Formats: sequence, C-alpha cells, structure tokens
Amino acid sequence: MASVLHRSVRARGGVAAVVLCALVFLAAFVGPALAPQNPFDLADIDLSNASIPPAWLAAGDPRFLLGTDDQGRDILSAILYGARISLLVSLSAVVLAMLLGTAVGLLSGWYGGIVDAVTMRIADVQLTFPALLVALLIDGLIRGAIGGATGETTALLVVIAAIALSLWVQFARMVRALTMVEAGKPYVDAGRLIGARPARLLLLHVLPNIAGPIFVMATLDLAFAIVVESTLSYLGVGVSAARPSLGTLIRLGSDFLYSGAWWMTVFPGAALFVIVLAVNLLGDRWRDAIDPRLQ
Amino acid sequence: MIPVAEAETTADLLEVCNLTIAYGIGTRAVTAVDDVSLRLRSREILAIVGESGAGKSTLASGLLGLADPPARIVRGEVRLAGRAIDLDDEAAMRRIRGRRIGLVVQDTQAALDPLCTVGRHLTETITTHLPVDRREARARAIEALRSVGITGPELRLGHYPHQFSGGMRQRLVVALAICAKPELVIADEPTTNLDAPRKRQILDLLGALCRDHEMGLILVSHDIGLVGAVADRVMVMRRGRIVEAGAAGDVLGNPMQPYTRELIRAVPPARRRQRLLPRAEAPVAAEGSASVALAKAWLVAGRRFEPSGLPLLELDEVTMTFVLRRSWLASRRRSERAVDRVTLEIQPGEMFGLVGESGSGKSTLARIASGLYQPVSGKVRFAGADLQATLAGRGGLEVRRQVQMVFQDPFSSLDARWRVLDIIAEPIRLHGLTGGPAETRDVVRGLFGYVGLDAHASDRYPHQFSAGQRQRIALARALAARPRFLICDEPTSALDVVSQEIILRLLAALRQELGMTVLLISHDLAVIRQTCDRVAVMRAGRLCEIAATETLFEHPQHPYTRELLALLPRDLPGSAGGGTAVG
Repeated sequence: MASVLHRSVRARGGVAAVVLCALVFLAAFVGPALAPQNPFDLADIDLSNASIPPAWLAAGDPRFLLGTDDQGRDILSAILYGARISLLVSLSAVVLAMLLGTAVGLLSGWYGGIVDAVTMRIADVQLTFPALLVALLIDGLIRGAIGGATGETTALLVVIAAIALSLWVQFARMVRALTMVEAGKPYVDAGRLIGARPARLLLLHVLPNIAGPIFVMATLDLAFAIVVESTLSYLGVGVSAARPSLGTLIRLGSDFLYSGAWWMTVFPGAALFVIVLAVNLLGDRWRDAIDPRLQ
Repeated sequence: MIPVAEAETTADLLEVCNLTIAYGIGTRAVTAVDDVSLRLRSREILAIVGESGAGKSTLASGLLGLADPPARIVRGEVRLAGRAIDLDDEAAMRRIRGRRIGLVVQDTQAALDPLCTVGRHLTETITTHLPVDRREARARAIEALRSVGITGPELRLGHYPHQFSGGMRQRLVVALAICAKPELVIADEPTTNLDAPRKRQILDLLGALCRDHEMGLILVSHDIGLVGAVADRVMVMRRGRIVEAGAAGDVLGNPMQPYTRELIRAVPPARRRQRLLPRAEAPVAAEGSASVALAKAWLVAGRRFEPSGLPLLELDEVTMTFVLRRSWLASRRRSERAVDRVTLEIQPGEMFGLVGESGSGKSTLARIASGLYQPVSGKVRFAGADLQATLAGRGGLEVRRQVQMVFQDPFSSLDARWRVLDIIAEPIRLHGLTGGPAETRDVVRGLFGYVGLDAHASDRYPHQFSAGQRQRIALARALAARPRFLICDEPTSALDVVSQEIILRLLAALRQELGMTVLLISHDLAVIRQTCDRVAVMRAGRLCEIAATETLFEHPQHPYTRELLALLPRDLPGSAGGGTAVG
C-alpha cells in the first residue's frame, strides 16, 4: 500500500493529485474545527445576516468570507460541513456499488450460462430506467419498508443504499465484459492447469488485471453519486435540508441566481468541482501506479 | 563499425550514414540503433537479420520517420536517391511515406481497417500520393492487387479484410505498400505470422516485385535461413550494431563473425536429422549451478510414477465441435468440427510431434489433451484412466498437476501483475510441493537457473523480459508443478531462432534428464524433425499420418505430408551443428 502511494506520487502530476485530494479530505474531516460557524446550529444563525455577498465586495462582511445564504448561514461553513456529507454518502455508495457490481460481473463473466443470463437480465431491466429514477424508487421502497419515522443516520443509510443500487449495474456490465476477455487468455488457462480454483483465479489473477478500468469508473461515478445525492436531497428524499450537503447547497442557492445572489450556488459548485477533479486525478494516478507495466 | 559496401559508381537509392537512435534521455537512455550505415541500390534486396531486440525494427521505423518519442534520432544522415531527407521533419516525411518509401508490416490484423474495403484502402493511398482521379486510382488498385497475385481483383476490391486468409492479407499489405509505386519498400518481419509454405510465397513475391518495379527492398527478419534465400545482401545486427554485412552468399556461406555463425547454426535444418546437443551450451550462470542441481533433484524426486507399460495419453475417436451460431431451428445452427475423430497414443518418455497448418485443429487437440476442453465425443485416457472423470473426481487436483502446458503467446501467458518469482512459485505453493517457504525460494531460484535465466531477475515483472525469456519463464512455471506430461503448443513460433534453439534444447534436456513425456505442437517441420520421436500430421481436424520421425520425413505415405515436405526450404550450410561451422 505504501509503495502504491509512493508510485502514485511519482506518476506524472501525481503530487498535485495527491496533495489536492489530501486537502479536500482534510477540509471535509476537520471542517467543523475550521468553520467559523456551525450551520446546523440554529442558535448560531441570525436571519438579519441573510444574503450578505462575499467579504471582498462592497456590501460584504468580514465575518462571512464567502457570503451568507437567505437564512443567514455562512456559505464557507456550510460548504465545509456539506462536503463531509457529500463525500460520506458518495464514497460509501460508490464503494458499495463497486463491490456489488464487481462481484456480480466477475461471476457472470466467468460462469456464463444461467448465472450470466439471470444477473444480466436484471441489469438490463434496471438500465432501462435512469439511475436517478431507480435511486428514487429504491429510496421510496426502503423507507416504506422500515416505516416513516427515520432518524438522520437511517436517512443517510437509505440514501447510500439507493445510490449504490442504482450504480452497481455499470460496474457489473463492465466487469463482466473484462472478465470474459481475461478468462480466455492463456495465463488464466495456465492457472486452471495448475489446479487453481475459480475463486483464486478470479481474485488473484483476473481482478488485478481488470482493476484499472474499475477504478476509473469508480472515480467517475463518485462525481455522479454526489449529483444523485444532491438531487435526491433536493427532492426531499435525501438528507434533510437542515443539514445540507454540497448538492443541497447548490440546489438551494440556485433559486437565488436570478436575484443576483450568485455566491450561494457558485461557491458550493466550485467546491464540488474541486472534489470531483481531485478524486478523478487520484483515480487516474492510482490506476497507473498499480500497473507494473507503466513503471 | 564495419563498412557495409564499398563506394559504388552507380547512384545509391538509399544511403544511411552513422544513424543512431536512442530511447529515453540522459543516463537512462538506451541506444537501440548504434552508428549504423548502409547503402541500397534499386532492384536490390537487403536483409537485416538479428535476434529480437537487435534494433532491426527501430532502424526500419526510423528510416520511415516513425521513431516517435521516447525514441529519437541522435545523429546520422539519410539520403534517398541522392537527396538528404530529414527524418524529424514530420510534414516532409508524410509526403515520403507511402509515396517514395512503402512499408509492409508484420501484423496484418492491425494494419488493415476492418471497416474499410480493400478497394478503399488502395484508392485512398493512391489518390493521397498521386495526382490521379478516382477512375485511374481504381485501375491502379486493380493492377496492384493483380501484381501481388490476388485473383479476381475487380471483385476483391469490394471485399473487407476479414474475408481474406492470413496469407492473402499479407499480400494485401504488400499491395498497399507498392500501389503508389515507391522507390523503396521496407518490410518488417513480413512473414512471421505465416506458416512455412506461405512464408516462402510472400518472400518470392516481394523479390519479384522488387525486380519488376525497380524498387529497393529492405527485409527485416529474425529468420536468417528464410531471408538468406532471397536477399542479395545481408546485414547482421546485434544490440543495435552491425555485426557483419556483405553479399548474401558470403555472409551465409562463409560467415566471418562468430555471432553470425551462431545465428546460422540456430536454424534447425529440415532436410536432415541432427539430434540437438544436450544442454551443454545453455546459458546457465556458473554461480547458480548449486541451486540448479537442487531444482533438478527436486524435479526428479517428484517423478516417481509407476511404470505401467501403458501409453501415458490415449485419444480414442476424439471429436470436438464449436458452435458458431445457436438457433432454435436445426437448419440455422452452425458448428465447426475442429477435431474430427482423432485417435492416437503417446508413450511415457516420448517426444511426440504434431504438425499442421494454422487452423488444422492442433491447438484444440492440445487443449483436449490437457483437459481444458471436454471433447464432444470420444475418450481421453491419461495414465489409463478417463481424464475428464478423474479431473472431476477426488484425485482431480493431483492429475491436474501432472499435465502442464506451455502456450504459444509469451505475452499473454504470464499474468502481467505478478512478479515472475510468484508466477513460478504459484504451482509449488498451491500443491505444497516443498517443505516450506525457504525451500520454495531455493527451488524457484534453481528453476530460474535451470531454464537459463538469472535468478537475480526473479523479482521483476513479465513485461521486463524479452519474448524468449518469457517463454522460458512459462516453461519454468510448467516445471514447477512437477508435471508428468508437458504439452507445448507452438512454443517457439513467436521467437527468434536463437531463443528457439534455447527452448528446444531445454525440451530435449527435460526428456533426457527427467524422462518427461512431451507433446510438441508446431507448424515448423524443421523443429519437429530435430526434436521428436514420432510425428502426427494433422489437416482440417483429421489425422493424416502418424509415423516415426525419420520414417515420416523419408517415406511420407499421405499425399498431404508429401505436399508439406516438398515446400521445405533448402538447408543452410552451417545450420544446427552441421559439423564444420561450429564456432
């Protein structure tokens, strides 16, 4: 692991990717300590501070570096708190989707036949609906199943599950195709000939060889997951507006774009952009770092 | 540096002076082409030969201005028809490539666009380079196809590359190279992917075109025996430098340099039997000999099988079909019979050869014999017991270990993500064949030495080895399972002659030292003749003939066998320990 990190750093642009990612995650994790205000604490918020532009503008207030929203919340603080939620939800969802999709893809690509037919038909059906709609549907189903009264944590888990279940298909499809290609290569046959069982061949030989594209898809999906989460939140089925994620902030702020309060949506948007960029860069370097051929 | 040719009175078509091409920069730079000078006249064929990694292909692509980063031209001058050309000037080279210098590549699959018809390939090239209209371009395309011996060129213009066989596709690539009437054609390993009869046809075609069209031809190949027959002059390269150059007859008939003699000797003669020497010259590091002895002892210890007097492998009326199209309607179903009622027996300790053209079902048979494929009908018995039933039963893992295989493609047969140390150790660890990790490490080091590789390199990854070295690693992995029966599916067809000789010597040693039973599959009759005890000839899924090697070569019974033997090339005077030329 240390050597992979070392090689990630050594890859071209690797330092920038690692540093950027470290900053983003650091900001998200120690965010509450840095934030001038607790945006979740109603006692901290004063409606008389509503809609103040960024500090460097004429009407700005030095207490609110990036301005405030219509409720008087400090945008910078909201971003620092919101990034935590966004990253938590999207990371968990993508990792979950990756694990599920990779497992299904490996099995159906390897065994083919009935396993392949059943899982891929399910995947096909799911693919006919937009991922967002699937997430919405699953969200509703889970909420219906566990009853109406849900705490904050449960709401978070439901959103994670809903996003994961809407994204696994892409992983499954891709991993299945890659597995079928790899399974036909002589090195896998050589493994069969020494008596290696399918589990060994799949996990120790096939999986490392197809890991590159999986990581790339995961980093791309991370951005998508953040957007899905924000959409769900906007529709009122995600995390609550009282504890806004980055996506929620963008959505809420976008209502005020026409009234000239651009900072409410632009700064959370910029934060989202930086996060997605950092993760994509790191994913790219990571893919190169785990491939011995690219050293 | 050795001068290639004395100053000629007639103008040279191509003149290369002190060309040096390197990969990378600074201290990590590797000089791939080192101070190479050569001259070529029109209607002359120059063969550039050498092992893989000798810099032949870098030289060829460099002359076309295709030495892309990290490769770069360090210095040197190139003159085409008396005028200096700048290899780094991309715009100028684009006008020269295809128009004045044609290229014939090795990989015809990659060279032809599967979505373009042959006609479009040709007319596009012609109209790009020559000021002609579409009608004229079409006429010239037809002419080009006719000149490379493709029948019915008018009809063939509308066909796609996949509708041609491998040999025909190679002809298409030749047609593409010559259709704009270049002065010089560079052919980079044009025959490597073809089987023996087709190799010769393509070379003869290139030679004839060169003379008829007044072109110069540079033929890059690792097969000195093959190109020696058509070339006027031969240049031997090693590690980027010219070893020896001169008229083909002189270089091949009376080589001055030991390395040239070594190259020639590595070509197995097809016309006579010359038993391979025991592995006396295999490059085993002296300091590693102790660990090699250990590995050998370990291999021998695993070879205590009851002598049963029975054949080790029996195939009884084995048939294998592949489904090409599934359908509910029987009339629409399509399947191909790759192996058709094949019956043969392989005795313990025997080296059994299987020959046939590409597509004759050899590899399918190998996979059936190894248990990777289950035949549609017929019985496969290994050591007296039904192979598929044993594999599925309780002792399956043990039998699995006893049959190992070496594959044709040295690039995809090793897991690129694993260190070679772990690749070779995997069967040992999986089956617990040693007392512990320390012994495993020693055995792996020994196996490395046994196949003639430096054990210090064992913590590298496969891509850091050459094709020949990878094939030795694949062999070491197969040995690490301590097999009883080794199947080698075209183990040398992707290798140069020197690497091929090493592999063949290793196989011979396995048999002598360990009594290994080997099934050797090849389309190269010379390889089979030098190594095998008995040979089976296969064609279109069926066995034509099985006989002892010498009987088969001296008194072929089946017409197809006779046809194959008639196409054998002449032997080089000094090939494979031919007595006088041993350096």
